[in-house]
Amino acid sequence: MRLSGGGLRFRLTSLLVIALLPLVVVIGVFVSTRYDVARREGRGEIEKAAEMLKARHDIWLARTEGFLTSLSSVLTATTMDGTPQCDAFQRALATTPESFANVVVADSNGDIKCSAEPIPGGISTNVADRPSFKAVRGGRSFQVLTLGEGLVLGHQYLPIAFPWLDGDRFLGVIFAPVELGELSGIIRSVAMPEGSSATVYDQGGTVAARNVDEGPFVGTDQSDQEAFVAASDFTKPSSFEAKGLGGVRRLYATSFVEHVGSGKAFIILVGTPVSVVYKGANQLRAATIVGVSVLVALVVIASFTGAHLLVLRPISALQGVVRRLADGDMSARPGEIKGAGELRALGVSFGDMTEALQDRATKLETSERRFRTMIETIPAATFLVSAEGERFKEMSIQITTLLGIDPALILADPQIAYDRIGEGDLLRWRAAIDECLELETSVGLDIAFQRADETWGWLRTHIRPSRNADGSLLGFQGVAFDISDRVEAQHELAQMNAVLEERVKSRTAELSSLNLELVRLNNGLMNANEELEAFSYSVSHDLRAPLRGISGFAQLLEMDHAKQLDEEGLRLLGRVQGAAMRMGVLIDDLLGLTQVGKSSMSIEQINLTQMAHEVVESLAASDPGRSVKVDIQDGLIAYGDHSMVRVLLDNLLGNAWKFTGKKSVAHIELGASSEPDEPRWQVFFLRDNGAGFDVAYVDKIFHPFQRLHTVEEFEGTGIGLAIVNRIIVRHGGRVWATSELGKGTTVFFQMDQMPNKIESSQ
Amino acid sequence: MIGNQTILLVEDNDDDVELTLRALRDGLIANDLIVVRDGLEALDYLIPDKKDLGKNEMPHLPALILLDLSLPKVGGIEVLRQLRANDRTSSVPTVILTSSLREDDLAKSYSLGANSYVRKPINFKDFVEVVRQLGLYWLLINEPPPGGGFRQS
Repeated sequence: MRLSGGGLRFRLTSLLVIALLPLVVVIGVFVSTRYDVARREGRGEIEKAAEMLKARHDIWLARTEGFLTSLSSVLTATTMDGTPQCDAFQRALATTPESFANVVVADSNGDIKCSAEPIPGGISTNVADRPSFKAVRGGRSFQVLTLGEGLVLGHQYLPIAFPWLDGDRFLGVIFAPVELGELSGIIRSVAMPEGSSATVYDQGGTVAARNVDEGPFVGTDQSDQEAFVAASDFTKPSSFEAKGLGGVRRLYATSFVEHVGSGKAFIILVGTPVSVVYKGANQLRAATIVGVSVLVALVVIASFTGAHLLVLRPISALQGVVRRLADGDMSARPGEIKGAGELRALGVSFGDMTEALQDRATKLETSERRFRTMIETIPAATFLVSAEGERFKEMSIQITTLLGIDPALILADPQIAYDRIGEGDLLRWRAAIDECLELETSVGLDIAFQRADETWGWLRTHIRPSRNADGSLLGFQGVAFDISDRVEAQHELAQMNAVLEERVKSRTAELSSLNLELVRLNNGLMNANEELEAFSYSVSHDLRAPLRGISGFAQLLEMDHAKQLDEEGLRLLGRVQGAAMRMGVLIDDLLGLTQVGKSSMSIEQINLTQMAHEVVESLAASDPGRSVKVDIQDGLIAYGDHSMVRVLLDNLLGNAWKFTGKKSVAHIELGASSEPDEPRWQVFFLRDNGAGFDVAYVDKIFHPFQRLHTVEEFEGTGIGLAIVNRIIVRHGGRVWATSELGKGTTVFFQMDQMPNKIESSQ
Repeated sequence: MIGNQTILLVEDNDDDVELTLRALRDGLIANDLIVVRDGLEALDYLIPDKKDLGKNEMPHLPALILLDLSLPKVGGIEVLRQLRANDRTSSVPTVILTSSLREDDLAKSYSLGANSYVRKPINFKDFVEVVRQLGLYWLLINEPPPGGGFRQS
């Protein structure tokens, strides 16, 4: 675009001119006040002249009236038998001022009786029909009439008439016409401002006198003249501008000479041509117009040149740079703009912008090159489908690698590509194009494709709509990868999965049959358990009854029939009782063992130290002859079922008590091992210095009915440690022992230090 | 001899009956002892059918019942339940005297209102002592319920 310098210049200049407007207005107002001053000054002078003229005419008129009044008195006094005495009249006229052209007396009938000068029509002329005669007879007063060409004089004059009265009686009229020259004399007697003219009109608009140019105007009717018409409208002395005699525009002042009998006798106009009045103001105005014009012209010229130098030239330079940039010349730079201010800053900014532009263009070019390299390097083909979805507009060279077909062929005829896609995939491809356009997103599709060598492969394609900057559809950008390897691997995987699934099925079948077996076995176990329960009930009740019989009757036999038995018989009876007692203990122990396995548990915190002391006290009470040193560590705490732990300590301490029976100094010690392997599971120990046992049998002692000593050595059923074992196991712990024959035994057992619920082993 | 109230022994085992009789005698408890051999017989004795008997023929209720649990026909637990359900017999002191120490036997007995649960010791001397103490306690020390249906003869 070409820079419009004219427009810019015009606008700059207009701005400057508009800025000048207030100055012009001020000057205009100043000039206009000069006119006002000139008008005021001119008016003052002519008004003064008009006043003066009016005063002179008033005096003249008063003098005339005075003369005629005295003349009337003389005539009345000399009249004899109704006839005026012309002699006396003539004598009276001897002192007549020369201003009158003639003096004539007419009687009440209008017949002229006397005349100071000879008159053309003779003395007998009748004037009764004259306007002046009628006016005086009607008004009985002094009349100054409009100019007229009188019969008496035969030329133009100012008619003046005066009533001849005797008291109130009308005797006639005295006519005293005045020559117009008399009035001109009055005008000339008054000094006029320079260049001014004065004119006296009669009440009809005829020029009665004038101080200059009398020739063409005096005696002429000027009643339709603009200045006179304007003056007639006023009733008081005024001033105004109007066109006057000779068509000259003047500033006028007017005054009126009035008389009782005739109203406005004279209208006086004093006028100065406006060219004279406004001479100074006009000169000032002309000078001002010239000055302002020169100023505006200078401003316009300066702004035009200045705009060119300061604005247009640098802008044109910038424009040139822009055009070079637009043409692709990124090295174009604006030169330095001289001076300071916005344009210089603009130039600098523009320079920076071109630097940035070049930088960006370079980056863009680099990026474009990288992008191109990347597109041609990635192991995938890129393509652009036309907007109508059929033809290919672009296609990268990789398609050759993927399909073995030159992209140029496909670009020329897309059917070459479509022929190599299965019918179903082609339909899906077209559906994918519609879908991605509808959703405005990328849509993926796997396509089976026949290569040029007739082998089949798989392509994974992604397409999405590509749009121009204005939002219109450019086409569909796509990318295609070869996924043949993956698809084949998936097929293999699927086959392997099928095989695996088959195996799992057969294994599952095996497992379920095994499970059935387990259920069956479990049912068997449960039955066996129930049988065991029934058996233990039977043991507890049914076996004890006959046993009680054996024991009871043997005792009764001893009590009631001891005399019939010899010593051997009594001994045997004692053995029967002993055996029955042992069997009772055995049954009780067995019951205890099953009870431990079955009963429910309630876990609480147990003070082992206190419980052990209780057990030892009861042992000592039942066996008062023994002296046993018992050491029980203070503060032993464990969590467990209270009654079971009591059974545990009963058995352990009972054993220790029993097996130390043959020691002279028996010693039993209960404590906690100082360093537990697991903090939660405290290991306690019970040590005695009793009989001990061969450590080879250590595995046996926690099983029921395992005895390592004869009943003769130590009583017992061999159930106690089995009960201990079962109690510890039910509490989740472990029990074991060390021993040395003849030196003593130590039993270790673990117990919980936490209040967690322990699972029942039922 | 402690009073003249009767004791009802419900026991099927002849040996135990004889040993109990002997224990009572050795324990110097001379009250009348009535022995029934199974649960049904016990119930017939304690809660006879009114059609079979006139009102005046109702037998005296025993001052103490010694009840075994393992009984033919009707078990001891069931006998106890019916005694306690009957207004006439609900307050008769009843001591379970048995060989069983099964937890559920203990629990059921107490929940049905047994007054004591005693296990028969195997040793006869112990057995005599137990029976003697039971007699002493329930017939002499313990005050029977008011009225209670067992009359002094």
